[in-house]
Amino acid sequence: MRKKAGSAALSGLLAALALTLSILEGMLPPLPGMPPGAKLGLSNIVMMYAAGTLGLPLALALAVIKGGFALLTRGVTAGAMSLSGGLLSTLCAWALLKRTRASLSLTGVCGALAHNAGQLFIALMLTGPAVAAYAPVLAAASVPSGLLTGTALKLSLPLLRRACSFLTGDTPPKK
Amino acid sequence: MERRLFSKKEWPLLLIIALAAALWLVLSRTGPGGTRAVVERGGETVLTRELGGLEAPELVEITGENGITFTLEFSKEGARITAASCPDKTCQRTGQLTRAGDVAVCLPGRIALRLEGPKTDQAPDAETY
Amino acid sequence: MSEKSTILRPKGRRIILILSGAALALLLAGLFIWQFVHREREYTLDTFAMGSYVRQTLWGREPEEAAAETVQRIEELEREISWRRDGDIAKMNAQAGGEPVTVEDTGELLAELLELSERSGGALDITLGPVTRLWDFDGEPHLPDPEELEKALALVDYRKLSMDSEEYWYAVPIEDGSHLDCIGTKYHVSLKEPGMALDLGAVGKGAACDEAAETIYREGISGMVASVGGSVCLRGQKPDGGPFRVSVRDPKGDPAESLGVLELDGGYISTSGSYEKYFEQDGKRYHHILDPRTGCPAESGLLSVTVWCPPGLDCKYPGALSDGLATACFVLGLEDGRKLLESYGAEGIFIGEDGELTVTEGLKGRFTPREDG
Repeated sequence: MRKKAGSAALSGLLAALALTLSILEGMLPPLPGMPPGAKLGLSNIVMMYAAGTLGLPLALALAVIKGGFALLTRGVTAGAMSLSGGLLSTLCAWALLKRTRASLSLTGVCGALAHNAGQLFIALMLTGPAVAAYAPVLAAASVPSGLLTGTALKLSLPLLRRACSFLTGDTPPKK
Repeated sequence: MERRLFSKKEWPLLLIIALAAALWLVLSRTGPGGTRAVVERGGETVLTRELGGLEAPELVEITGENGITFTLEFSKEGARITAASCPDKTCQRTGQLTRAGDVAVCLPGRIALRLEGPKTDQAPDAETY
Repeated sequence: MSEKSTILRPKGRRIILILSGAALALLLAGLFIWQFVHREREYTLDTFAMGSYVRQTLWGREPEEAAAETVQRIEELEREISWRRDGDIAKMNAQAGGEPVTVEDTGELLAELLELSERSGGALDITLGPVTRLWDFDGEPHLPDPEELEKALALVDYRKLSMDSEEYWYAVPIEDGSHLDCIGTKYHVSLKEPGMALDLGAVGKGAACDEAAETIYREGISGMVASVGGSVCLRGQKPDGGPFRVSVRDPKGDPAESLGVLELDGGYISTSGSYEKYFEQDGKRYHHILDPRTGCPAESGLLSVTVWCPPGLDCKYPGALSDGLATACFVLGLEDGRKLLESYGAEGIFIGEDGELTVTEGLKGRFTPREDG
């Protein structure tokens, strides 16, 4: 019983974190050197953690919440793109973390690639085939940003784990 | 969730991904110079401009979807979006487009500005004499 | 035993996973590279044949090989149809008045040109050889001696070209070991009088266009433009899906100037103009398009004629036809030329000596004159 409640609380905490990070990223000035349209994907840190600890259904629910939030605050276009990118990257992160022993950097890069692919697909549907020219740029940008999110997750893991054990009341399974 | 940041066994895979992405980027950036600007709204061409014959930069205002307005600048060197009324200004930050295949996109306005290669309507394919 | 397997299994699975991941990534990288190497691209090849520049522009996959092969085929064609070489036409000329020469492809081309000679009332005559040699426009052009010209002209008559055709069966082996029976046509061609000579100079570039046109049947080629001198062949589709644009040279301006642009979906275009080759002697200008009926440069009040044979015309050599029609129309003049074009279903642009432009019905809307012209 306690574990279930803790899990719900953890989901809520992670959702709040993901939203905060995505707002924060929107407020940051555009990064020099990064191509326009490509983002760091800070919220991917949280999504990766969620995929690794909460399991697929809850992680996907988190992606939907994030997409819904983008829909409410930034409009239909941003909402659809966030949803598509979020679902795809979460799925990718879950597959890599739960089904393989992939390292965090690889998970980060693949997650970023999946995220950009999902967003590009929506953009392609909305704006037309000209957008496809962005694909190489986004693919190239995914590598450094994925490495960055992977590193950030590694650094914040102790903190997250402490929060997790506090909420669920036991030590998380060492996997 | 006890994971290494890097795993020794994976680094070739990571390297391949990085190299493939870099190669793709380089290949896509080495096209011929653009000589014609095309503006599309929702996938349909709404405006084309030959860049070769322009003496001075030319400013054009267009309106995309959701009431978003754009100022486009066409010049001999290329084309760019100089102002946009959408909040994120991604298209504006794309800067000057110079190569064929370069594109600046505004998603909220469903507008794409792209450059086409030198084989434009101005140059005939053949001559008969 | 069981303990050992539990230790081994996860490790083995990990290696398999990493290996398959690496294989997938390699496959993806390979796909990207393959896509860039084999993507549809544009390729232009300039060569020299038939005494003029041959420019091929191809769109599609692996266009280099296709273009190189076409160059070879044009060279083979030149050998067969040039009277200066040692092919079919040279043989026929050498055996004029004697034994017939048996040919296949060249015979088919000759049959079509013979029909054009007939339908144009001899305005195009493929037996003009004796006369063209006297004027020598490709070497040292000069005014021929009137007596010699008269003698040469007496040898010019396409009706004295005799042609018999004969069909025959031949077997083509197919994969399953049996063979397919095919029908072919042999032509026995002879010039009836000694001294007669064929000259396909008026249609050579167009015939080369027909040869180049075959390139479109190569796998992976989606569109092509070939120009042999001023004769142009358009086939397939441009990558942007738009019409082909062919500039028509201004006969009065300098060579770089354009009279206007034709926008066409395909077909064959040739132009005959008095400005292409000429020489001046005693203050008079002599151009290279000879009237077979007088043996002298044609005077029909025209500066140039451009002919378009649209795709789907019922003939085997539409390129050679367009070239021959352009010459015939130039010799015939505006009125008779128009009628000839109409009878073939071809279209044209006539430019008179006074600069007047006449565009036939089917080209209206496809021809855009230059803005400031």
